[in-house]
Amino acid sequence: MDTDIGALTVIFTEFYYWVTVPLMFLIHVGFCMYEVGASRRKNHLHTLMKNTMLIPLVTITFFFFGWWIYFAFPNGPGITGGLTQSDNAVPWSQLMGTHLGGPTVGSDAPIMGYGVELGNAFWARLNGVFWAAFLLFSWTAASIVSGATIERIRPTAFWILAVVIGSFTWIIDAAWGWHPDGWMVTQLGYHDAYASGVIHAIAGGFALGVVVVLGPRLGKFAEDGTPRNINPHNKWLVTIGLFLIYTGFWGFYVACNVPLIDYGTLGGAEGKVNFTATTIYLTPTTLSAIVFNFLMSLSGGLIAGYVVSRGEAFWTYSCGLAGIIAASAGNDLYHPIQAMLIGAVGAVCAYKLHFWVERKFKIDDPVGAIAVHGYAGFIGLVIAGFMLWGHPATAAYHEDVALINPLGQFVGALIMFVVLGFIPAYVVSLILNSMGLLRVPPAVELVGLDMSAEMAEEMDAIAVSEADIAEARRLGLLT
Amino acid sequence: MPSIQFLSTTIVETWAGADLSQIGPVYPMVGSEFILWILGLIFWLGFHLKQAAIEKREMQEDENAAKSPERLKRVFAEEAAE
Repeated sequence: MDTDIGALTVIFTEFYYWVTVPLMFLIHVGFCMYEVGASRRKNHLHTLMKNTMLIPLVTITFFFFGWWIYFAFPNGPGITGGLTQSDNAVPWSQLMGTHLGGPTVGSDAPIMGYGVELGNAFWARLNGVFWAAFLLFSWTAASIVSGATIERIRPTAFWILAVVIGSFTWIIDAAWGWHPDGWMVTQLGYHDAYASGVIHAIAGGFALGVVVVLGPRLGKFAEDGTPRNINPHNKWLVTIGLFLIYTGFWGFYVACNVPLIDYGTLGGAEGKVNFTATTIYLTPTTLSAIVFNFLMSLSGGLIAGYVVSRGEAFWTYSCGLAGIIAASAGNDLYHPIQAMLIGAVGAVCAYKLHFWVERKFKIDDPVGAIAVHGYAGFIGLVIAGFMLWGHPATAAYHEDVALINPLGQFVGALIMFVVLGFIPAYVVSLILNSMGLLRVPPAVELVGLDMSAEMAEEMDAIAVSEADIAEARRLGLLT
Repeated sequence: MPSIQFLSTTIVETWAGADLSQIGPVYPMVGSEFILWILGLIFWLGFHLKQAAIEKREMQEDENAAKSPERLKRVFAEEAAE
């Protein structure tokens, strides 16, 4: 902050991440509208509040330990090393608060960890906005799970599961596979620039783990196992919700980048000042690349979804999302037409797999979240392994270059979907179920989860009506 | 108000002539961060425990109320119309 270019770089970066936060907030608005539109009238309030309350719970727990995990766990720990020092992210660090960048108060010990060479001023300006950008990813991960569980999960159980994925498992996967020094990046050549796996595959796998234990909604399957359609209550709310998710996705994509950095400081050509944007792996990219590829993969997904679903609105929109998700792993590098085709393939696979799994395994996923996020994300990772085969996964400052390859991407996809997604969700759900905390009682599910609120509103309406009648009598308008 | 300065919660005494490169945390009660973290954890875990108890009671009440045939008929009629 003591040179013009240094100050401009830091303050531009601070502002850049800040802008991504309200944009990504729209993802959550979209998820709320989408889920309420997809649920039946008798469950609206429950659906809305279940998803709303994950905001504060994931936020505070991401402050209490989630942010620290990202900086402390890139080595596993225990895979390529121990815990890494992360003074900026320790929840009781002075840098986790209102700070102007000067020295630490009450301690002469030097600050340690990432970016320490840039001084306290760097983290004082960037810690909060960077934390918030990651936090909004956390909300997204938890909210994806929310959609798969609507109309039958107890709020208390969901909120515990939301904290598990939002502030624990997803941020472990981010430390492993979405960090320039993460062991999956340096050892497997794992590449997932816009989070096909680190957000979407893990959230899809997690949702599947919960739903397997939770079971289908009452009435979803006939006695012979044939699935019944429980159609969205309000298709327009679903439509607006999905458009808002698309809108918020712009913020998600730009938040995955580092906007401005001198590539010479990262191991680029010596003596050359070469400012660029980079991915989260500190490999160079441009905003133009991701704008091209975001829109082309969205388009590939929408076109394929419209065809494969015979123009069904809910699935056309969902396939647009699946298209982006499938291409996201490599959208920093693909040609736009490649992104379009990958988006189309991902969307068709997600659509077909959703209905096959539903029929075969009696899995009730009301909003298609497991397919759109989980299957499309998984497939996108594997496709990236073939498409980007041999491209460097690691930043320039790494002496040993890890190359992107199909096996590394496949193993990475399994880690995301199964190891950090399905298994933790399945275990926690089993525990909650054994305590009788997971699912609402059948009678309550049948009559609707909003029954108490509806009864209270009916009593309020009756009381107001009686008061109006009494007033009308007093005025002589009624006898 | 010099008489109540001993109640001050801040380490910033004035902005006049301030060298920002030498000013770190400006929130009140610097040094209490670990205690605040413990309080935060209690607040968070307290919510889960309290809410679980409330939800258990409400589910029981809802389950009893849901056994009304009139309400069930009404809900199913509304659902069919939906």
